[in-house]
Amino acid sequence: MTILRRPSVAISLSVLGVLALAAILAPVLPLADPLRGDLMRSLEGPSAQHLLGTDTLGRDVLSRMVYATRVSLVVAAGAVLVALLIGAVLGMLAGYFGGKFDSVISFITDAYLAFPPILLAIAVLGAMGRGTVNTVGAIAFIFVPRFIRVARGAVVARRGEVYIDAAHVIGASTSWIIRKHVLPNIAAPIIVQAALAAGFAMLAEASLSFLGLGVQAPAASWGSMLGDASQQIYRQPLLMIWPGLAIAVCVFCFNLIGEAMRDAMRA
Amino acid sequence: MLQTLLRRLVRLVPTLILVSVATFSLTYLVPGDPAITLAGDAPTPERIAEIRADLGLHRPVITQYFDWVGGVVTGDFGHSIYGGADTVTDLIVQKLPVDISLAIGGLLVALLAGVPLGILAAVRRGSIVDRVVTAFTSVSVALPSYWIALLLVLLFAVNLRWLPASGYTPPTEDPVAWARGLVLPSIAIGLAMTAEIARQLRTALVDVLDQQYVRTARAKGLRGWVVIGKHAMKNAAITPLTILGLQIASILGGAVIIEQIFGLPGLGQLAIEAVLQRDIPVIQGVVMTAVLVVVVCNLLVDLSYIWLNPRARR
Amino acid sequence: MTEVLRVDRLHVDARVGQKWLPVVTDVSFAVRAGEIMGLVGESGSGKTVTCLSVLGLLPRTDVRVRTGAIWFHDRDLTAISRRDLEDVRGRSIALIPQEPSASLNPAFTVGDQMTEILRRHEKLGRAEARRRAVGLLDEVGIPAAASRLDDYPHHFSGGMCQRVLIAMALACNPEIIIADEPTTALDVTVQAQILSLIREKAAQHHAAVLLVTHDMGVVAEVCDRVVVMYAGQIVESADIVPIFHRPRHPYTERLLAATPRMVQHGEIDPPAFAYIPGSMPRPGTYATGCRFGPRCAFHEERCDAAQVPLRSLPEGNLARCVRTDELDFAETRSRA
Repeated sequence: MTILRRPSVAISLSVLGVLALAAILAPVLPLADPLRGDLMRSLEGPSAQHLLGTDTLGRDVLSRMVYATRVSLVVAAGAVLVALLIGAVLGMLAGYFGGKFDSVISFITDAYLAFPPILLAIAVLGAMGRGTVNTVGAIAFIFVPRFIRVARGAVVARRGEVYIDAAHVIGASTSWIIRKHVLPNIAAPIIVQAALAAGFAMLAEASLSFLGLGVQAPAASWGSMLGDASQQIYRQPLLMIWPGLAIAVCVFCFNLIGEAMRDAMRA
Repeated sequence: MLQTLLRRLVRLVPTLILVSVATFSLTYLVPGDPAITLAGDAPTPERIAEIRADLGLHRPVITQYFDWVGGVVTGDFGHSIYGGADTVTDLIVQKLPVDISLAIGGLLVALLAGVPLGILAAVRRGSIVDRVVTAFTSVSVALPSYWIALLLVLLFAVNLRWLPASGYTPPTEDPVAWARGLVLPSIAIGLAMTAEIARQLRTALVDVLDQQYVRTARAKGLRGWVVIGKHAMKNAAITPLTILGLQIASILGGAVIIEQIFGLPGLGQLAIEAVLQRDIPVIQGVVMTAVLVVVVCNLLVDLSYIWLNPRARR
Repeated sequence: MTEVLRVDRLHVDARVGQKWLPVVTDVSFAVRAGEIMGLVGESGSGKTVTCLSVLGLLPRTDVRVRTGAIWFHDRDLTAISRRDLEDVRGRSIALIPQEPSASLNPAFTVGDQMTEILRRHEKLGRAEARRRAVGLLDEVGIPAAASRLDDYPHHFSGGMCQRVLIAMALACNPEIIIADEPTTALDVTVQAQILSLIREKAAQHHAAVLLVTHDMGVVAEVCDRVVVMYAGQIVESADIVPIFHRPRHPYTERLLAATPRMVQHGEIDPPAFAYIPGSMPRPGTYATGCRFGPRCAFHEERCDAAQVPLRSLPEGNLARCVRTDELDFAETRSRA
């Protein structure tokens, strides 16, 4: 856990921590109602009353940003979690049991990667319909093959190890072996992959919401706010700076953490 | 070379089959009657029945699949469910030049910016220059390309009014306007690629510059830029190229949004419209096209890898 | 006899972490036209740094010449511009590198790499360059040279690669060739061939040779004069015959003793395999007096008193030893 001492990681974790905290505490914080807008005061710049200005419908941008933090973080984290669970299990089983099952899974994974991810997510949303929950599913769908690959790779690398055979010999059940020996070994690479994927998941959700396909009104994520802001680029250019900045900072932090973990694992 | 090419093509077939199955089954992702899905957002009973008969949905699924695939192979993706004289293929072909222009533009930006940056960082490794470049690449990767696009539009189109904010003019009509319209979108889409190329190239080059054969090249009295540009680059280009090839898929995804922002009438726009209208045949057509593009690009990357690395030839 | 290259009081520092430590201290020697000069020492002695500094081939971020000069005719190679240095390399001063297989670019054909040096320095056309390249490969003993021109380095064995590199070094008829441990990475059977090839070709092309090696056996084969280095300094310098018959520095004597030799048939009580206990000090950890002192069998207190100067001896050689007049290694050598 020495990587926690690295300044880049420490700062990233703090930033993410603050954002998460803001997200959780949103209802308790002294913010304006994110859903109520004063149409007389739409598209204003920053002022004492509205620190980040107002949007098209006169709603306070700052409070919308804080509430959007919830959506953006939850969707990204949720998608990664779902993808992780499905991918890790499939990958692990494929790596451990090998054979036909493995060949099929590997083959599907390779084919998967021929699809442009965003397009795939768009197609999935097209078929299933838009909305926050479907977005989590669509994004998870994109990331599953990455987790399968990582988990399978980690298991295959250790498949020949002596302690697995030894466990068999003493009559341990397959599930016990998997629990005790295989899982701990794939935990590290999976976690690294999760950190790296989190950033991309956030970008993916932002992209989809930006296009109007992901999170739908009245709920807002940074991506959808950016999408709204892009419509107002001539009338209130400042609007698009905040959500974009938030996304960039978050993704950057995730990437720093992921890369630091990956370097630590390699050492 | 030809042998390798053929072998690669053969290996692609099962993948393409799988992809086609997946794309085809998009219609069936939704529980319920596919005819209702295909009828769009406001289905009437007559419309549903009509679609049923039209598309032969009463036939077994397998037959439908093979029909569709048969069409795909001959370049026929069927018709948009919203009628219109154009087939899906027509629509795709109309829009394709836009994407090709964007791809070329983005690639140009990425190469013109990324390669020199990568070389600079590698040659001056450890210095301020190196650190600045590395920081730049790390940050660029995190920036949503559309945010950059919006910022570019804000600066160059709205404030400075140097370049158009949106719109596309075919090169056959007015080459200058075509080029001008593509500058900002190309930069937006090229930025992510630039960062990736610069970073990968730096890593590969740092490694190569330490090799004995580079020292031999220097000892022969070759000029510095020859040593780097010829001897080092041919060996260092391998990894970045492969990585870039693998990234084509994600780049295509980013293109969708860039097209939206800049109002470029490309496949991305087509896809989004189709999704909003749940026009499944169009979605299927676009996805298959995209996959084909990715596959072809990967194939090209594979082949160039063999050219760059004589040891891989068989 | 004219001097081709003269190293004059060279001091070179290398970066270790954040510090700059001396790796070459006060090295001076000259290479005369047509001779083969040996530069001998263990790894870490500074011999490679010295020879690579002549051509400026060490990365400037990690190695720099603190003071001193390297004279090639009337130009100081440490002070000329990069462009001028590039003109000298390959044409007037050539390099035969270590590790032949790693020293050829795997992405280009051997022909390409040979013609490029010819076209760079002599402005030859493509056809002419190819012809010259074939001739050179032929000269160094590569069979079917013409067809080999289009082969890649991985099609050549280590010995063949070294021949190619020798051909490249000879290509522009340089005045001096620096051979950096040319046989270290090769099989023993090939070593002798390569050495005699170097000697033969250097004589033929009227080139002097600076041969860097750690093996006194190699020195005995081909060198006319020898400079022995230890811990960044020259400890002895002499002609080939005197240094083998009567070394004047304990380290030289130990190097000679450590050279494996065949036991003669019928020899009774052959000498045990000699080795030098301890290891060479690393830069920054040198003793204040004689740097070899800690490992020397003849070490006395006065050896540590002050830095030992390199003394001229009556026979014309040089030695850096306080006790050189007292010690006589001739008798130990006569058994060899």
